[in-house]
Amino acid sequence: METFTKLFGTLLVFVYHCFDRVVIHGYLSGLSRPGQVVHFFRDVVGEAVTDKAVLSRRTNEYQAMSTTRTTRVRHQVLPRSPSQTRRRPGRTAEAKGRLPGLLRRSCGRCQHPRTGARLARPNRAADRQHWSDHTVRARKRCAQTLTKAEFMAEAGQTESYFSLDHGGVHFVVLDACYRKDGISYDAGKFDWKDTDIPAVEREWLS
Amino acid sequence: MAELIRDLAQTNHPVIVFVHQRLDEVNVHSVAGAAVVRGILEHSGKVSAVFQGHSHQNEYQDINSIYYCTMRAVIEGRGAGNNGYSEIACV
Repeated sequence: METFTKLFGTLLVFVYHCFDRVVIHGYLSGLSRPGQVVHFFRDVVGEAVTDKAVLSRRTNEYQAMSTTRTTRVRHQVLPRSPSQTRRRPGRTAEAKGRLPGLLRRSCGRCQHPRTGARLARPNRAADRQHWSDHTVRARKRCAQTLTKAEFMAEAGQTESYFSLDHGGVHFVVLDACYRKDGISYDAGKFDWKDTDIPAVEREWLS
Repeated sequence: MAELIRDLAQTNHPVIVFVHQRLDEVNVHSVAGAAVVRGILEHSGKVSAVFQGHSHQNEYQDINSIYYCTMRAVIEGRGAGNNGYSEIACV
């Protein structure tokens, strides 16, 4: 199998075929409980009867989604294991121009201290492990790498706290992702035990 | 200087608050100024419930007639039994 993917990996394309048990068991475990598919289509989607037409329509939507996605990432075959990632750290997907921004937020340890160039091939075992961890973190765009401003831009918000009215109820969403010294959480610069709601937000709330 | 919006003061509806970290106790999962924020919520007289998380366990407290509902994470692990959600009936 490894030889196969080595030889033909670039030609592999992920294609979504049907809304079937592989998808349900593999990706939508919530729907694998008895009656959940019917519940999903009737109560969540709003279809009165879960018939063939309804399933076909959903299948077509997923097919379109997977086609769009595989086209966008140019049929990229992701590394299967961390060991594979570690083996060729210099040739990341970003280095090949496939995933822009993948390691944009690499830290000082991943970069040359003076030139800022990314380390091509960490030699020490500890550095290799760090590189591997960092690659995974960067790819996930998690709290260690994502700034609050980037997150809000993606969500189309100007403030991280807000309120709205719905069904005769006023809903308030507060942002307590601030350190006690008033600094907003940002790209890893936080501790989950150090949380506060700053004065400006308290005044807005009151 | 822009006029200060006082969100709780300006609404006539009952209020439900969502916040990730906890407002109902004093420990590592709690907002440092939780008592001050609870005071603001209580003073408004409009807040029915607060939904919060961070500590990864379902918990519930009634403090001065505001219900503090702590939810586990949406996904705590594999399988249907390890997700977390709730439904609110506003009656």
